[in-house]
Amino acid sequence: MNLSDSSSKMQKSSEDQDRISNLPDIIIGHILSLLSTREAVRTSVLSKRWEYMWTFITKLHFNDRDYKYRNYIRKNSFLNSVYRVLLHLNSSSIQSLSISISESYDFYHLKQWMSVMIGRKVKEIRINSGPQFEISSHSPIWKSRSLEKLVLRMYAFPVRHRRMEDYDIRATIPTLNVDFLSLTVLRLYGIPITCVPPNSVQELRLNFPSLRKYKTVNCTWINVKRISIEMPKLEVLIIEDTNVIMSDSSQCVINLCASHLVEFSYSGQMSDTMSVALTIKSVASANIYPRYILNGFPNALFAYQFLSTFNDKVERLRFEHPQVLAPAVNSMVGLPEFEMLTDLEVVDKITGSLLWFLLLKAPFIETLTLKELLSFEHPSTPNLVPPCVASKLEVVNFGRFQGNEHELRFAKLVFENAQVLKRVNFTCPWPSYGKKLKEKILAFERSASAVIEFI
Amino acid sequence: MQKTEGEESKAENEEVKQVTLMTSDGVKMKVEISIVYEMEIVRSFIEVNDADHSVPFPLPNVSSHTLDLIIELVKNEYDDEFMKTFSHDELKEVLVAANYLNMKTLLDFIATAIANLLEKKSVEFIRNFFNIVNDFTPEEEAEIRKTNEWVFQDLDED
Repeated sequence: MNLSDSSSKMQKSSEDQDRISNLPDIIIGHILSLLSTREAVRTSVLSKRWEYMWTFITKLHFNDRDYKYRNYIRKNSFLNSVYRVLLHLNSSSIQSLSISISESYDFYHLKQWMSVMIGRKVKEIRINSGPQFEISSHSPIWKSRSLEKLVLRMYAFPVRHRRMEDYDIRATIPTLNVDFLSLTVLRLYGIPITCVPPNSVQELRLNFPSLRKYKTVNCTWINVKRISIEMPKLEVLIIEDTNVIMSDSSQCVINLCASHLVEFSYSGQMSDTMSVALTIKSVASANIYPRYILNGFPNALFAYQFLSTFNDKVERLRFEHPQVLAPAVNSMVGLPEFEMLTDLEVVDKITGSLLWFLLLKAPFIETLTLKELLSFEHPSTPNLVPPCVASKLEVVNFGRFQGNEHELRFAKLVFENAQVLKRVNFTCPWPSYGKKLKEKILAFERSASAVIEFI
Repeated sequence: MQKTEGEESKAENEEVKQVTLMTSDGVKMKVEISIVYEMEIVRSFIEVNDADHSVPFPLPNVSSHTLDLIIELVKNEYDDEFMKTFSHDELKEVLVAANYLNMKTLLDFIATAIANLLEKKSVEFIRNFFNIVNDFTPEEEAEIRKTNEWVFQDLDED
């Protein structure tokens, strides 16, 4: 928005008061757009000049909780007010619509509002609702060419129930090929999604040619078997707790193509009801947080799939509950080396053998952060030290270091062999380390003069 | 933005790093070029005309006090805490100046601050803030309140 043009209209006056009273309309419109729409409309009563000023707002904020009457009046009053505002709007294009609803309204109204907004080339839509909102396959949203940012929070989801009929579908994708040309940010929370026609045979293809950020939290794909999402410009991908519900017991296959990804984060189930395949060229940082740890082979395989995807592409890897991998250790032998990995953080307990395995697979690790080491035995070939420890490792953070024998064994091995070690931090699980333990650690033979800190 | 003699000549010896601005109350202020570049109106002038930077650029609509506040805001990367010390008049002065100088980031920042200040305030508060004279007759005002009843209901005035 270029606001300076209108400033020439301003009366030149040495009286500052006049300048303030004669604020250009466009600045007033700018301020009014930042107020809740209800507040903006209230300024119609200020003076004659202000009576229709609010009709130039470009950002709309509606919240039906602002209407604190008895239920019945509140709903009608809210509906009327939204229609009144939409009818009076003078701006030919709308920057954003933000709408929070806690009551139930006929879907017809919601569809009308969306239709007006899409007609005014709205760039941002934010919807906050319980299960009252629905985006049907006929929704104008699917046809928007102007939408740049879409944030939908619906929390429509009864997590406790697992049966199909308990899920009320809140978004239906209308065809098997959908393009959102301008969309750069997409955030979805708590939405059960399906598509028509059902894709038992074909693949659901979603194209997001401009998308940079995609976050999905607690969303559920219902009876969708194959999904392909093309996001060639995507930089940040965050997936939390994706669920899958199928009327038969088949698997849901999700293909995510994001060749320019910078940050990836996955948390949730590692289950065999779905498989997530990622096509990426590289990724600076990847975070994997498995939930509902069941020590089964499917979980391990799921986690292992991610590792093998990132294998030669990731620079920084955070892995919570790494022990989920343990049952797949035999499959992991064939895993190629982590050629780019310089920073490894394990955010939960790890056994010595799994850690040793990862260190051998990652020859370029410079920073290693451990939450808690469960065990550690000297390797059967005593001279074998992982190459990263010998020549790359600069920083080691020992979390919850209790001074057990196996922990000391591993620390000793690091000190004796790490030739470029610069810093080692020991984090104490209780208020402070005893003098004896500190002395024991400080007495280790060292190949490099690293700074040692007890935290 | 007062600079000592030493710093001044040093700046002149290197490339141009400061631009002199002349405020409405006739004060010449040397301002770092990085800050001046946020002022689109000055920036475009400097870029188009290979101007002599020692000649003060006149800002007939900005007082030295307002320019001081703007410079501090930009230097402090738009610090909320600093801005909370502003009086209502200072807020409005900075708003008008930001618009005049075409400083987009500052304008968004200050407009948001003012919107937050006005949210849920009474009609009288807003009239006072903008120095608005109510030119409606009581009947006209009542009529508008009736038309837009939904925005005035359930509201705690003041």
